[in-house]
Amino acid sequence: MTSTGAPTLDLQRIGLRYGRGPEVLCDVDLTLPQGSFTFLTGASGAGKSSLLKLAYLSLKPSRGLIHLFGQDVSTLKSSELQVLRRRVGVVLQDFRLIDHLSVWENVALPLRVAGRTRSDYIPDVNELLNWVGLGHRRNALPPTLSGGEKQRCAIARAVIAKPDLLIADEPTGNVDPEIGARLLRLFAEMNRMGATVLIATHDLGLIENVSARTIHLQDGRLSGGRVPANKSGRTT
Amino acid sequence: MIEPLATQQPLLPSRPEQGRALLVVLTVMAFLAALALMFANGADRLSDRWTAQLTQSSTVQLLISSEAQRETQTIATRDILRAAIPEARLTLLSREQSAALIQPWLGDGTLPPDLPIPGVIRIDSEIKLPIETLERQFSEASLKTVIDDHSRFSGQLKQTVGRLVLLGIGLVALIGLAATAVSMFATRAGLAAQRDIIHVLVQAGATDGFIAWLFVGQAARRGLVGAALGAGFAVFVWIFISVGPGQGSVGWRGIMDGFTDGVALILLCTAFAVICAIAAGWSSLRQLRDERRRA
Repeated sequence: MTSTGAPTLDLQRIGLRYGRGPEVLCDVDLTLPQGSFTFLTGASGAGKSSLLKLAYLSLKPSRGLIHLFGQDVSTLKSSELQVLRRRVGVVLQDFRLIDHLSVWENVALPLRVAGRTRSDYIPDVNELLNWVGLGHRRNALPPTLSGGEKQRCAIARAVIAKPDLLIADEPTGNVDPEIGARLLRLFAEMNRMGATVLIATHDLGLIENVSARTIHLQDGRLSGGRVPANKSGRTT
Repeated sequence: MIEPLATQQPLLPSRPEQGRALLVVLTVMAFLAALALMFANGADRLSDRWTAQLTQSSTVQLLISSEAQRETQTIATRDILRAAIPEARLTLLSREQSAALIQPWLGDGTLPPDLPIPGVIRIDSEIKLPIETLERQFSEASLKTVIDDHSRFSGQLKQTVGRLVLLGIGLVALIGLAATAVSMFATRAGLAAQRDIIHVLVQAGATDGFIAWLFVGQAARRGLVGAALGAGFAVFVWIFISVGPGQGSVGWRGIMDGFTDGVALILLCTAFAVICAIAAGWSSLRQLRDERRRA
């Protein structure tokens, strides 16, 4: 659990550069309170994906501090970082499904990695697959899925372990509006259950459908990253 | 309702095209290791058999002072031997039989009649000869004798076979080293080829140990199959050699021992799989750690 009162994610004066190139993120301050729902917007190349990678610990910043669930990640050992990663669900733009595993096995992956017994999680996986509309495709392999089906599979995998922090990069980019609305309801439901949600999107319709805080990234600099004292950002 | 597959699918794909090539390499290495091991075992067994035969048979050469004394001195020597080792079987060789023994060195021409050909008595005995006692008794009876219990030859034989066994063990160790290198190389190639899967596993919270264990299992299975195939081929070749022509006292027949060789081969296969698994585990852990440092 997150330390009492500590934000789920806290980035302080983060700078990030790849190799010797220019900084793609510059002095980024971002706080995600527990249970908040936040949209991250910005033009292509603004650094949204890099910021998300920092948030789900796939990258180390060139400078600055990252606190996840109240812990300074720079001081943690590899095994401790992996325990933190299990509390973060991630939906990537390119889905990253494992091609030789069925849809069912892909969705169950985080539970398998966490060492859960297969018989314990079969009902949970089946229920979630039905919820995202992939119940009839559970034994299909990812290469046979459409873009939308892959996306729903990736989302199901991200939420199956009921993560404390859910990060999604353009999660509704490949699905029709009806499925998109349904997926958004899933994120909102996760948020109501206590998960902190951070979604990077271009979809203004998506943002308008949810009453949530929006932060904007432009040329590697973030606006609205600090939360006003009277605004939690939780969906309503 | 469509149920999920009953058994868990392996998290790493089998990659049959690369797996087959690797399996062939491991099979050939295991074949060579198994042959080296069986040759070393067989040579050791053959040496034991020959040494046992040699120690059961000795000869006494009697340096005859004159042809007129041949029979008297030969009988005196035989009597001393019979008294000292009553259970031994003694065979007295005639002058012609003794001459035949030195013919290879002197040629097959007629030997001069006055050539002092030693008398020879062959002793077959399962107990060790009391050589010092016999020498003393022969000396007291003024008989000039040379007792040959083949200890010099059997000593040289044991030394040679000892070196062959060491060579066999060295070859097995070298092949084990090569198997380690192959397994490490295959693991690194596997990690590189399955980078996307590793990334997903890491993101899902898999520890380095969890990921390394996947490669350990894969390498152990591959090592065991390769070792079993290689050992099977080696047994086939060994049997083929053993039943082929050129048998006799120095032939292959009888130097196989089904139980001992079987146990040795099972241990070899197990060791092969364990070596592959350890190499894969160590290599993947190191690679994952290095990649994390570079990230």
